[in-house]
Amino acid sequence: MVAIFVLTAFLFFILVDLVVLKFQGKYHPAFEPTFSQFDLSMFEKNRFVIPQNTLFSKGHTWLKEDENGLVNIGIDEFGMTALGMLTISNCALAGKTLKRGDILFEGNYGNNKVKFLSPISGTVQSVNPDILSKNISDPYKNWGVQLLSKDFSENRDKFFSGNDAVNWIKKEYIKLKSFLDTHALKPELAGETMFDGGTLSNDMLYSLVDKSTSDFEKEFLSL
Amino acid sequence: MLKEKGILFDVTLCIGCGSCYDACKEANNLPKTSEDFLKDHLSDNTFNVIEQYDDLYARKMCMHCNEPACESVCLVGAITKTSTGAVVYDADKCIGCRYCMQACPHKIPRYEWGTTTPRIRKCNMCAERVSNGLIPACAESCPNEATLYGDMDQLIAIAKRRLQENPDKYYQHIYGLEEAGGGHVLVLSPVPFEQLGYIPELPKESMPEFTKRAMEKIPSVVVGGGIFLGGMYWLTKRKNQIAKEERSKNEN
Amino acid sequence: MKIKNINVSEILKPTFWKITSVIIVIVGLFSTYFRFTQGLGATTNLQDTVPWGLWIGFDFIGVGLAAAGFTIAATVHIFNMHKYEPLVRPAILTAFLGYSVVVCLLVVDLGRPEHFYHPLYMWNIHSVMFEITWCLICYSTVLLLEFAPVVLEKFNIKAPIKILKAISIPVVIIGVLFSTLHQSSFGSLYLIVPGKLHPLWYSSLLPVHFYVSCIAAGLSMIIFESFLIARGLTKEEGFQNTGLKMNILSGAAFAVLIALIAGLLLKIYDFIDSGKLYLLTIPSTETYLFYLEILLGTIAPIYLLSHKKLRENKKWLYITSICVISGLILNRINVSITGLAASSGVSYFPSFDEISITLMLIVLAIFAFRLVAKNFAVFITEEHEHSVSEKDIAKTKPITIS
Repeated sequence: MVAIFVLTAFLFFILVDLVVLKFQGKYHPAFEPTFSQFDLSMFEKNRFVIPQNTLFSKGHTWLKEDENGLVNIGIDEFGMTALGMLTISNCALAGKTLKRGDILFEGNYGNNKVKFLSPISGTVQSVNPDILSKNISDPYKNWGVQLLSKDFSENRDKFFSGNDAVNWIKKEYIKLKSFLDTHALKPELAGETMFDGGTLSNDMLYSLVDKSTSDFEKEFLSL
Repeated sequence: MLKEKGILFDVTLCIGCGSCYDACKEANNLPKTSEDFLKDHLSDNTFNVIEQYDDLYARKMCMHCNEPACESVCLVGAITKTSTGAVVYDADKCIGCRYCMQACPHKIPRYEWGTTTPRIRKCNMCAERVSNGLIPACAESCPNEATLYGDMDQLIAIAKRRLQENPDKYYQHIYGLEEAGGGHVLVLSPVPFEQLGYIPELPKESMPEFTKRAMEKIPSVVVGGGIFLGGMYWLTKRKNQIAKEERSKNEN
Repeated sequence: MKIKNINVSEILKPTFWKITSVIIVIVGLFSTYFRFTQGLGATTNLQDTVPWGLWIGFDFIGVGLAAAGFTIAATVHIFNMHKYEPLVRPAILTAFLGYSVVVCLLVVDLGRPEHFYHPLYMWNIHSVMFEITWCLICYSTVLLLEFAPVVLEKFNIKAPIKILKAISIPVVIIGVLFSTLHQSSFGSLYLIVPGKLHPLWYSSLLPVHFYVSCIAAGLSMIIFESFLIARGLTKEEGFQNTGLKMNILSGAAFAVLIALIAGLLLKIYDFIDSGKLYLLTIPSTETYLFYLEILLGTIAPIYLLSHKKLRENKKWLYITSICVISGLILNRINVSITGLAASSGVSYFPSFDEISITLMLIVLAIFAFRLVAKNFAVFITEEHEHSVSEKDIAKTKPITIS
């Protein structure tokens, strides 16, 4: 009887804690909805595929030169999912001439607005209308803009490709995890903001503490 | 050196008069605990009881084992065996862990639960009286010589002779001679002992033997474990080092 | 070093667990007061036939669950698997606090607590209890030595750290040896009661059973605790690196699997060797509890852990660790209480005071863990030992009490 009693007491406290969390609208770390970006299988090389002939810039955009000499640029998988699903709200207009470091895309993860910078200088030739305000399932098939670039070849060594790219992306995910540990919203507020849009999809969104969107841009989206 | 002393209790001679019960209480300055001594049980104020089984009476008390479990488990050595064979207790040493109560195969030691300075309580074969040249109160008071006090070798001889001379009268076993390694209290009975509430099937080995077998392995565990761990440390460190060197070689 | 002003409003802000903890501690303090003023008889349900109750049973659980202190230290420092570095400090801290709870509970349980220092100079080397006492004293010292660098590094005292680093390997080895001895000796305690302890649990291999089971349970406790830390401390001010490190934890889970299988095989061997298999078919409370212990604490986790997918899944890893811990709880209470109930002839259930004092000590230990973790760099990253990062908040900020 005593054995059952002690065991029940132990399990009782665990259950009460889960109930308490439920009341506060929070998740226990064991029962959090899983984020695809942190799946361990992610880090197994064979499952971690990046498209061929694609370069990655430190600002989480990818670049690929097509047969006409135009550079297709899009946002990579990390950028699309880092704080939840990204929706692109704005994009440099066709005809505009950009310098490396100018704003190329603007998007938001829920309430977090972020800017993606252009990895190269050039003139926008065309914009893909399918990317705006839509969920993008395969980030590498949907380019965002096509640039006629002047300095693509001289900047080539600033980008990652092949194995280097894979290793770099892995490190970025690890960095993101610790970033979220320190920057994701304080628990008592998480409940309110997480639900106040009323549209919590199966992709959970991270809400960040004040100003950390700019920290996020500094850490992950700067060139 | 004093000769080893003991108690022989013969159930066939006991008339259940309660003299030993009263004498024990008096000798140990114990308060009255029950209206009817036959219904009393061992407690912090009762070291000796007489239990009635139909027309037979059985005494229950400390068996004063040759190798007492209680003595072997006491971490501060509060329980010791005197040169006469009595198992005695020193409350000044005791820290009150009660391992002796847990370990005793005869379930004898009792505890003073009611106070804030509790002691272990049990029969000590009137160690104080004996050192003053007296004999234990129970043996002295017994009107029918059911309880005898004397040298162990003589008591064993008496017990054996009684079994031999009256094979019909006695169940052919001396309880306490070999139980749990044997002790200084021997019991003779006309019926099997479990019918009188004595704990049957105790091992013939002394209880501390069971622990000793495990404790003996400690030195080899320490030495072997130390060598193993040291070796493993050296091995794995060497392995890591070699792997590191290989890596740096490959990089060059 | 200045003590930061205590943020009163932050401390007083009520949360469910804060209120619960305060109630438990207050009630526990009252119980402690009664225990020491009125004695064991008035406040516990212990009696002559049941000299050891919940407190001793809980001591076994506490020591068993604190076993990660030596297994993790050995893994990292002796077997040089530096991947598990981040677990070392939490494991050592857990072990130290676990042992503190055990020692406090022992003192409460002692009939003459004012004599607690007697074993220091009154020796009986034949007593298992004596061996345990000394192993506990020595191992606590080892734990202190292992944890000392964390404290010293905070106050930037460098000289002793060098000495401690130099002797760290022998210290770890000694720690492992002392742990091996006392973990198994808790089983040896019951070797002397062959006639009293139910044969389902009594075995001449009891010390080995205790040792193997504590390895599995200790590691599970570290896994469970990592979840607790991630749940309770993440995103709170003053804590860093509290997130779940799943790749490390699933590695530890694999070790749990091996230890559980070893324990199960040992149990099977023991049952066949001593011809006790027939006991499994006798219907009795003991048998049912034995089945529960084995199914919940050994079979189920072995099944779950043998799937790589589940081992790397947060939810299942959490559930498995709870299972293994439950198994240890059942086993230790079964040995110390259930298995002895039949021979004692009375049914024992702990009194209110016994329960409340136990709960109070657990709450205090959790509070102490939090306090230490907040002020010292307990949660570190893999690279930490080798390159001390200046960003580490815990190391540079002033001491806080909250």
